[in-house]
Amino acid sequence: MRKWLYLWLVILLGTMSLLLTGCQFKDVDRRAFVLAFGIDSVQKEEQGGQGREEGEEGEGKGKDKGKGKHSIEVSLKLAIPEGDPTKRNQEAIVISQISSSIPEAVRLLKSKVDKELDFSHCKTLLFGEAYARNNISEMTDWMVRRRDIQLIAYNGVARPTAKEVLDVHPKSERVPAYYLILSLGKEGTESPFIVSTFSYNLRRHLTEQGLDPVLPLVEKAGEDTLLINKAVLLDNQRVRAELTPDEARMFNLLTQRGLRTSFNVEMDGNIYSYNMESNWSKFKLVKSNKGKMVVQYTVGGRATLEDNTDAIEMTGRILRAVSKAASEQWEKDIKQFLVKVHGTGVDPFGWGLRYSAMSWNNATELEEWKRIYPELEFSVKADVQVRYSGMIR
Amino acid sequence: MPTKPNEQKMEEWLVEQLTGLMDFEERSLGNSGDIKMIYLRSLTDSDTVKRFIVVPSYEMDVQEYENYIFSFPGSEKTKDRQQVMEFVMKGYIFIRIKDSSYLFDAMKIEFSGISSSITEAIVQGPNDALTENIEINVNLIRRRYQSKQLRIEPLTIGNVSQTTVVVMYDDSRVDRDVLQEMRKRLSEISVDILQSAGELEKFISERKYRIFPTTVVTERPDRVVFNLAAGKVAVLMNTVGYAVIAPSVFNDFFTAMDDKIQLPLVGWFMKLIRYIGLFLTVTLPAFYVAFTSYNPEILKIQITLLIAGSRAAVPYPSFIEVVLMLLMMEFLIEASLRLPKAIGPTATTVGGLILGQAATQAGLVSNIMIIIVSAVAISNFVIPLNMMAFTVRVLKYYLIFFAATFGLIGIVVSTVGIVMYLSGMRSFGKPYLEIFPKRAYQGKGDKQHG
Repeated sequence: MRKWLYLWLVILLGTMSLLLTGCQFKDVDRRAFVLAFGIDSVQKEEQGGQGREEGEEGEGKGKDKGKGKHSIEVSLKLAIPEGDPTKRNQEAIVISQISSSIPEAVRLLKSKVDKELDFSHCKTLLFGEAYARNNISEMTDWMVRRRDIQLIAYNGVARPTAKEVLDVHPKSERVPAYYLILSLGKEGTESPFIVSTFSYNLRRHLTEQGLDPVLPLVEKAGEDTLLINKAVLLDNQRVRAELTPDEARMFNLLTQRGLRTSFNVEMDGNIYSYNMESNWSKFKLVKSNKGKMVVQYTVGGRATLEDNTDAIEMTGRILRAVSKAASEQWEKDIKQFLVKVHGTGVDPFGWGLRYSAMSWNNATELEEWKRIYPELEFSVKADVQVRYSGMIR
Repeated sequence: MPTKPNEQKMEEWLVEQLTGLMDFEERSLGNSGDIKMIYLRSLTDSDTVKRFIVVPSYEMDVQEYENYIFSFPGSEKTKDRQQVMEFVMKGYIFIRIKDSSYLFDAMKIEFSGISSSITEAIVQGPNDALTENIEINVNLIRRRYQSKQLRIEPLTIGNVSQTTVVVMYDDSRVDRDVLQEMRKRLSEISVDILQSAGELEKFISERKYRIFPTTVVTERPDRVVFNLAAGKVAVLMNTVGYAVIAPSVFNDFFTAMDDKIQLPLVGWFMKLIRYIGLFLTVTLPAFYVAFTSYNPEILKIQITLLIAGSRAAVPYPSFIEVVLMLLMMEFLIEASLRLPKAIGPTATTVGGLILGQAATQAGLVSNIMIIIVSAVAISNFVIPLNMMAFTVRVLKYYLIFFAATFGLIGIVVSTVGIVMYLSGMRSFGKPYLEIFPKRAYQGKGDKQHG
């Protein structure tokens, strides 16, 4: 009898404890999901902008000048959940806060919303251009350490500022900030001009010696349009150079397989454009007979001819000539691109990493590489095979 | 010792024992007065009594009549009081002819005819179900299993109900340990009334409190035959249209008799569907609780926002919402089971349509919840054997509890707990969670007899 009474007591207490939910138990409707995160630097009053670099017209906003200790502005894009799936758009709000540190800014932002901030769906983290040109290590450190930010998030540099980019609500966007995820992650568009970087890779490449990160550049191109077709090269803390759309595509061509893109080649005054079906690239570090280190790139691919401006009838001979011309074009362009990247002093392709992987002298290899790097030479060998789909007359 | 007083005494004793019963009959037969019969009217076939006992008694002399009675198959000459009592209670007629006592078989048997299987319906294949009469059941199985190795051992269980229980097995294939264990457990049963296979299942299983059934209870003779051929032991009972099969493994409960009939790939697919159904029905409500309250990061953004949006008007925490809705579903199932067939559809209409629709519109539960509850209910019914389907119905609450207290980790740990519990279970000494069980009998090419 006593035994049963005890059993009932346990069951009763168990059931009642389920009813007392406590304050840690937060249902999904009591959380505000942060879908995109942006960080900008705010001009400090004392320095009056002299410590800044170029490209900061849009930032600062002027209104927060005078608060000297404030240096960053954190903007969050929050989704307002909509239960009716037939409704076309999910609404979003952007809130921002100026503060001296990121955690502090997030704390302050908590009082601007009625729900618990939840970063678990934050899949885009943008650095304002001015911030990225200064130092992104504080932000990446916070991002890696914060447990609810998934490290499969995408990173990018926003121009003119992260806040302004987050404020853009593209018309095609059904879920807030999904535009950025779809395009930066290439889940939707597969534009060859977008360089996508996961945040775990960004963090690794920042700290890795001999391999530097690359980030896509997200530009505000109008009231409700975004443009992502450029990229920036970083050293181990800040942006060092910017790539044009063509260079961004070249970067993708050298780092990805099966890039979906097309190129043009001019031959005998006629422009042929061909669509890549497959491509590959590899590089070797070879000591030249002059004692200098040469980065030997071998690239290639298969393509189909899409059109030519003069409606020339295709024959095997012409196709071989087009292939040859295209290969030569590639060799020229890629070499030019590699020299430009080398000139900025960063190493997004991991030449240094390859060098240290190849050499056995662990103690001195990095210093050696620092000595070798400025003297690097490049050679490119391209092999593009252009085919033609055929035609029935 | 003179026999006559003894016989006289036996008769008197029997009359004494039976007096007071409403349907007790005592008659003198023939002209000599040497023949007396005692029987219970409700248990005997009155036509048999009249045609084969009463009428001939006036047509022949006592000696001839005695021989005549004894010539019937099933007739017995006896001196044992206990036996006489037992047989009279079964529907035999006690006949005293001069100095000797005879028992004459005039049992009246009322049973429902062979109907088609209801609880384990299949698409193609035999439809017969076991009846409530053991003779017919043995006949149904014998007809499908025409082997001289088929052994049938009768015994009686139940102090009051005196239920005939039959143990069937194939002598050349059966696992001896299991058979011994079965005989031992059956002989240890001591109850007054035994009238369902579920009770028998309870009495012969290892543990008193357990959640998973360790023996298959089936109403299909073809399943019994299939298992006999695999070297298992089947226990049939009189007055019950179900057979208990032992030993059983977990997988047996997910085998429908269709699987043999279907093409191999189709059969495997059906089995896969059943296991997916099991997984869904057990975990879906728990996952909903975990995802909405602890780990929304696992879902895609769209679904997270959809759940968040549809939950916006729901005042209670997710697990209360889930338990509320699941209870509603259980009531619905239970109600449509108990309702008379004619008003059965009303319950589904009222419960399913109106309640579901109204609950979401009133904001008591979210849209997603309705989908989950219906998915759970439907996937529960893909489990072919009822005992397991009921187990699974209970099991999901256990997972919900842990999901509500520990989130996703709770689900993982409690699932591991279930697997560990299943691994520890034994069915008649055989591991219960054996995924590829070795058959007790490894036949050449596994061909079925008969």
